Amino acid sequence: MSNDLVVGAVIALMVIASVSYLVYQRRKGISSCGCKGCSRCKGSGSNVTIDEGGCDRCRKN
Amino acid sequence: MSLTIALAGNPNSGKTTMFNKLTGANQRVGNWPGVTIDRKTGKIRGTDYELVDLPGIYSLSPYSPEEIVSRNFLINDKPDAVINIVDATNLERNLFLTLQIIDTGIPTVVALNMMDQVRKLGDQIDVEKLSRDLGCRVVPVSALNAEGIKELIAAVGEAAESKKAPEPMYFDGDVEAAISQAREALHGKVPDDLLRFYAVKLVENDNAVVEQFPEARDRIAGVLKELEEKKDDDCDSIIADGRYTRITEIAQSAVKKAPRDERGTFSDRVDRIVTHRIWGIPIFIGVIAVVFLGIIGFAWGDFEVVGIGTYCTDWVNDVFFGEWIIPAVTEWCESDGVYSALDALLCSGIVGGVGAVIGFLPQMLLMFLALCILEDIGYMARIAFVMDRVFRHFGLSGKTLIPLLVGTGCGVPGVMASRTIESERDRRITAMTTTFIPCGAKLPVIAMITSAVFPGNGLIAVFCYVMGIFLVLVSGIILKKLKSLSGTPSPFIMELPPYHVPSATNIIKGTLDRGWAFCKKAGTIILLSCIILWFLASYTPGLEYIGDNATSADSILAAFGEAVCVIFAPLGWGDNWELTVGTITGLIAKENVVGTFGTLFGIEAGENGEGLEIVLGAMLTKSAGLAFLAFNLICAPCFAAIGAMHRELGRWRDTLMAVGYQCLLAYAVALIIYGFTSYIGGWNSLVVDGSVVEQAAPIGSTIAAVVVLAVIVYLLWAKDPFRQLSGKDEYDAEEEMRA
Repeated sequence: MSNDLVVGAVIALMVIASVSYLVYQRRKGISSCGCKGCSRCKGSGSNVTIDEGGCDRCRKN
Repeated sequence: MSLTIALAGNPNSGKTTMFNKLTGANQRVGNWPGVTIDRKTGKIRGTDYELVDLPGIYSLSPYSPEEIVSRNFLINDKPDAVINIVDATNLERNLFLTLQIIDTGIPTVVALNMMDQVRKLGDQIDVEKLSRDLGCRVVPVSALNAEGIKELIAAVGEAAESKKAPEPMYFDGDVEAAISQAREALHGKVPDDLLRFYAVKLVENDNAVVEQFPEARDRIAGVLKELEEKKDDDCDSIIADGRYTRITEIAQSAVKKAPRDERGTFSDRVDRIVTHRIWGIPIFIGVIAVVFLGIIGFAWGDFEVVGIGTYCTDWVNDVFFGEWIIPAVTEWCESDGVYSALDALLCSGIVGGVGAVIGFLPQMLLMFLALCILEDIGYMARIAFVMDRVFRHFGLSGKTLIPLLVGTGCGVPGVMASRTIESERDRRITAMTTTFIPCGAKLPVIAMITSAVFPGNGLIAVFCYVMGIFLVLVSGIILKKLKSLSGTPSPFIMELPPYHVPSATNIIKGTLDRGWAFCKKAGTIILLSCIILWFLASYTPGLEYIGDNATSADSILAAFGEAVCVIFAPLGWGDNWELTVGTITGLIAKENVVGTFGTLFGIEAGENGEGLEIVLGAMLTKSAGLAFLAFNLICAPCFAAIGAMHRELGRWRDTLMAVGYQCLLAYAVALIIYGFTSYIGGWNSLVVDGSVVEQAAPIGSTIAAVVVLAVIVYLLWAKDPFRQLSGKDEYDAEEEMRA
């Protein structure tokens, strides 16, 4: 019996997991490189930190 | 009750360490000033207090963007209390900020940090006396050893709840008279509790306050002129002098210093060698060389030493992936007797692509470990100091080094760290050029090309870093000649932190954080890229599956690569569309260059199971390999770093200009490398099936390289039409006139 179904399911799971994680990071304000670059702060001045922790509040400096 | 507590203090006084101790957070701590460039918030453990960690400042008259963050928070957001972290080993300098914080009328607790160091030096501080003189509670602490943390939390809670403002410092009669006039001029324009703070700042000629209240400044202009004439000094100097006089009194009565060793502290003695005006730079290059030679290795003729990182990476590629993972996955896929497209996607696309990137993890971890140790010891701060002299000569400030050092980890925080630079023009140039320094993501590319064309030679990695710094300097000269980026470099004042034994926790955390970020990237963005690349390489434009023959010339990817690769022909690698595709996919993430080759060639690429480096070695001459490496390191960074550049530069037009400049410079440098180095013996030959095949001399590329080099030399030596004289230049010109 062909194992394509299992291989396909494994690949689909990997894709779903990686896309979900990227979306989760984006919502947390972490850019694709894993560093913090708050997308929510876009246009509100400079409100990002060089730390790898969570995203800070966005307020104009 | 929920209270907001601000954590303020001088740079490198231990604020972030204290923040981590108070909140249980894991914010990055660095042994150099300026690690925090924006405020961070967290809850103090066991309380309802919100703690805000502010970037380090020396005074409440800010110059750079991150200093403005601190001042604005204290003035506009009015926290319920301030914990002023004071470096107890440098009390006099730190109290300059303390007196200004007290002026804001916010309840203040002084945390006398680094008391363990004070004891080690044999000094004594009368905490009670200091507290009485400052008019606020003083708590001795050691953030590093978690000493006095409970007492500090209790003291700050009491101060915040009592809402009792500390007594401000008073100046002499003449100055107080001027302050009184300023208070009247500002009355009704600022909150009553901040009236004294604003009045002192107005007398001090603080730029921000003068700009905010020009009428008030005009109203007291006569008073200030009179004061300046009477004291024979500028108003800002009069106020600073008044503060330092008071600080000296406070320090003399509260601090009893033990006699110091005439030779200076251990840090002073080491600095005499490490920051020496002649030996400083060779020592820096030597340190970087030792790191890379130890990790990657060294090869000269028949002499070869395998670096520990190369050894580990070879094991992961050859044994872990080559003998265990790939055969196991392939066997499982073929167990049904069919090797379908899905099987090929899993084996070649995913395991091949992601595996090629993961294979470099051991080298990356060792590299991160070495950089973390250098940072924690305190050597990174010395590099900025040593290089300041060089950078200033090229029209840039030594502060540019801080973003470059941060950028060795990742370009995104590196670009963001450019905001510690006061001069807007220097800041923009730094944001545009920070990514020239190889970030962690570029290390696998360096390692891959090194192992393919310069087997086991760690000097190539050293060359990449030196080239990055050199191009930042060259860009400094060229870009300063543009009207929008002209100007004199901003002054660079940096406190050198004392050397200390590196903290194992900091180093392990720093290394694992970076390594984990690398793995997460391999499992997300690189994985998705490899799947798309495999699809493009395995299907024709008519969507017909052409089998697991990823390098087929009929694929969509081949059609695209062949159409574009002509651009790179003058750089010596335009004949292979795979190399062009690798360069383009590197824009998503630089590790993708390796992932792409892994997908296209497989980790065990050759018919006889040779490694990726053998296939690349047959495609790239030494000259072309170095040109390929240089182009990929200097050209536009990944999209995340381009986004960070856009945030710092502000406008898309400027961002596109910056990316255009980077790509143009990368092309020029790669052309020069290929055009000139091809004539070095053995640098223009390929290794095909174990035999050396000499290539034709690239005459066209050499002629183009000569022209490009001439243009760069012209741009470097052409007169700067927008040159502004620095203070020293003006002094020299005046002296010349007098002579």
